[in-house]
Amino acid sequence: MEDIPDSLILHIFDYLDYKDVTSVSQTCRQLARVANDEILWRNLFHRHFVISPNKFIDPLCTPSWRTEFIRLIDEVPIIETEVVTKHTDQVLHVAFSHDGKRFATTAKDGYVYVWRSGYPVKLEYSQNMKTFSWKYTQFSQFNESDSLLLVSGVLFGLHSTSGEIAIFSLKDNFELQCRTMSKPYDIFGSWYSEMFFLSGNLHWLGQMVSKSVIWLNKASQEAESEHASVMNELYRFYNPKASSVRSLMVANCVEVENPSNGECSRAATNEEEKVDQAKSSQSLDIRDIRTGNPLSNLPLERELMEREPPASQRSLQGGFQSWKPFENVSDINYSDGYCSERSPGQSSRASLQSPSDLDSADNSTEETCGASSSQLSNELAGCVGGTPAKRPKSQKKHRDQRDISPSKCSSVEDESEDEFLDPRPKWLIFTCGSKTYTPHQLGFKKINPMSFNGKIDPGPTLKERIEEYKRRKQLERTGEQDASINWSDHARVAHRFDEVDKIIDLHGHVIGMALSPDHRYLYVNSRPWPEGYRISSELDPPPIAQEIDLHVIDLTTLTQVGMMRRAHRAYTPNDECFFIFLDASDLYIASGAEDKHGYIWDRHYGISLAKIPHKDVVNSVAFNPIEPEMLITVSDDMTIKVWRSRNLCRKLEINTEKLKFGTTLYSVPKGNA
Amino acid sequence: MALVRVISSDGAAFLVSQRLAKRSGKLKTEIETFRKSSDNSEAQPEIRIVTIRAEILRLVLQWLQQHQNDPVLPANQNEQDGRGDAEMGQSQWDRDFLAPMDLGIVMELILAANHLEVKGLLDITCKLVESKITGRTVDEIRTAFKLKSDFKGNEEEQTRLENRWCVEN
Repeated sequence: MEDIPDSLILHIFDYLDYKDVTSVSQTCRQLARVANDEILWRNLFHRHFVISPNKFIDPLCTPSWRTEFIRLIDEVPIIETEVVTKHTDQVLHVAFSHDGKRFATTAKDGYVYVWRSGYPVKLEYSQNMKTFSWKYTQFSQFNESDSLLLVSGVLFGLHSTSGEIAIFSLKDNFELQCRTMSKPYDIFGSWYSEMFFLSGNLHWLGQMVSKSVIWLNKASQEAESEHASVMNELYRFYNPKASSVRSLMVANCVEVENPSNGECSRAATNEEEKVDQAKSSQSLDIRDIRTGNPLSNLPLERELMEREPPASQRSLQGGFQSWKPFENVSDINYSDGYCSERSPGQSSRASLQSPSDLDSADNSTEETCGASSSQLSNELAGCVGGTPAKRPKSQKKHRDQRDISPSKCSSVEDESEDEFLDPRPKWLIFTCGSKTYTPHQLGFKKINPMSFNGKIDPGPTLKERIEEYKRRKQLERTGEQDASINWSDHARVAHRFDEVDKIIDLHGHVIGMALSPDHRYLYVNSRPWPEGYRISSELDPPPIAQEIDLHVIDLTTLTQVGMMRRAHRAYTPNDECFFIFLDASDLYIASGAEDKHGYIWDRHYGISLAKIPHKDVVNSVAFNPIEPEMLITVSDDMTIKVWRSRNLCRKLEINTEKLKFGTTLYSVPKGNA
Repeated sequence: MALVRVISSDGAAFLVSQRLAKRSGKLKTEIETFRKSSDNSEAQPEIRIVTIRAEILRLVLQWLQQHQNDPVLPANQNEQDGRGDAEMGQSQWDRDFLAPMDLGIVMELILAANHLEVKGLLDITCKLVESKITGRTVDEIRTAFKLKSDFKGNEEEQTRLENRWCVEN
């Protein structure tokens, strides 16, 4: 072979499988040199993983196709190294600490377990939440320094929709720090900053109309003063059509290099731009339906370069192809048919609130001043157990910008300049709805840096409150009270609520969300509705598909940049549909599924890499954020499974001979085993 | 019938029809060049191939003779299309043709097919070499191709470690 020029050897190698190429490369120096050729490996890569030859190399990785090839074979966590059987019922969620040293699992057995993630994993803390009258634990999240764990669960009761959030210290022998009610339970709760977390509450205002209040809670409750507040009302959102805010999530706003759209607040700009965004995202969507790839950390310019031919040239397959990317919440007309049933407490609230200075059309401002909010809190959220306080002055700057008359904010202005809880602006992300009660939209609300109002407004005295209550009861009896307030008419009551900055309608049932580690992208599991389905009643949501679609939202533009319709599945109908959590590392996406497997995709190339088996529904997955070659899956089969890559197994000297492997999902055209 | 004389490196001359010779990209170019430089259109071209010995040249011409009615494959087709053609083009005749050859001859044939720009032959010979590599261990490949390990110092061990990812799966 020595006489043959390299170019001809390459020609021969082009027929070979990667395993043969690596064998040949070990025979002699000439062949070793040729076998490391980049173009050879590019071709091998595209052939082996079946991706478009035009696909660029992942810009996050070493610019070598051979290295990329090795990564997808050797560094994907598909070896089942541990099966932990400690929970005695379905395991619902798993979350990693930021330092990768611990993970927490929550389950129907009511326990929360905290594990050390070394090999093999070891139990560190446990707590039976049934002792706090919880039915089960459903979710957990570590704070940024991994000193505290937020645990969310469902309260005991036959048809309970109430949940509770408990905070445990990981420094202090898992000591309970505080508990807060949260409603509905699947609002979950989320850390806002190191010591503060968000919870929610739900108040029915009328038929099919409710209000979700988002609370900012202090993670530890000092007992010294009853005048020190532990929670501030942060937002109140209007929920039409029996929907409600769920699945709270907080992301840091990411700055983008491009100066033209470098501001996080871009989404809150004028309508024209929204239309532009919708348009551009629509074309991206169509492209992505075709290629089936989510776009990843590529600069937007590159995404444009990769665009493929127009939609008309393609034949789409499958049932639910027509994609309606956006629907702004303000576009929805609420029918008058929903009668104007009033909830208690409206009249007093109305009297305490200042009317809006702005016209209601573009009124996205918080109207309520501190005092009324506090009163409302006393009335409606008193049951929460913590002491409610005035609104944080969070929105102060916000308000000033928006030209609200200063008198309304005077109580806020009086406060001394406290430190911001967190100097970073953030996105509050949640699921919501405008057509039916199942969550089918993503809501985005920018949280500007704010401070916590620790002082409590004593509000009216008990005597005053009793009188107010009597007065209201009297009004209700005589039917004289504010007949003007029709909660079903959003336009007329919009000024009483915080407006959501951006709504993305997914035309499907949202069953899980995950942030990329850099907080730039949001990955969403959704079970699509039939194309063009018309919802006749909010109590009768559309049937949902058995496929789970994976949507990718760019949080710098709040537009959908990718979509993947792939192998993972779910079977439960609408009303029994539960969460299938997913997780993103820098390089991979993983998700549970109801077909008894976890799934792993490459984020950049968008290809499905492997499915890893359980004996029942896989509810949640989590990558170790420091060592993404380690993945945890939890399942209805009551087990926690730990998956590691071949590479990691070698490093840890784990003998993989008798271990189970996941199934790789890319097809190998040449059939070489 | 217009003929052309093709002379091997060791001086053997083959008289073949121009129509057949033109199925080799290289010979086609040579014949056309000869035409342009010669005043006499009746003159018989003579082409000397200094890199190919008679035994190999005979095999190439034999293959061309057998495939003279095949559609001509463009030489610049990309690899992926080329592979498909190789699968298609490999007839029983080709298999019988290649069967008795040892790998040394096959390698020479690859060089010749490449030099003479006979894509179909290049494809089947490359495919044959590929089949001698596929699924073999490093040592088996060395034996088959009479390769000697010329790695220096710890290079061999290093290469082995670099490729360890591929071994277990």
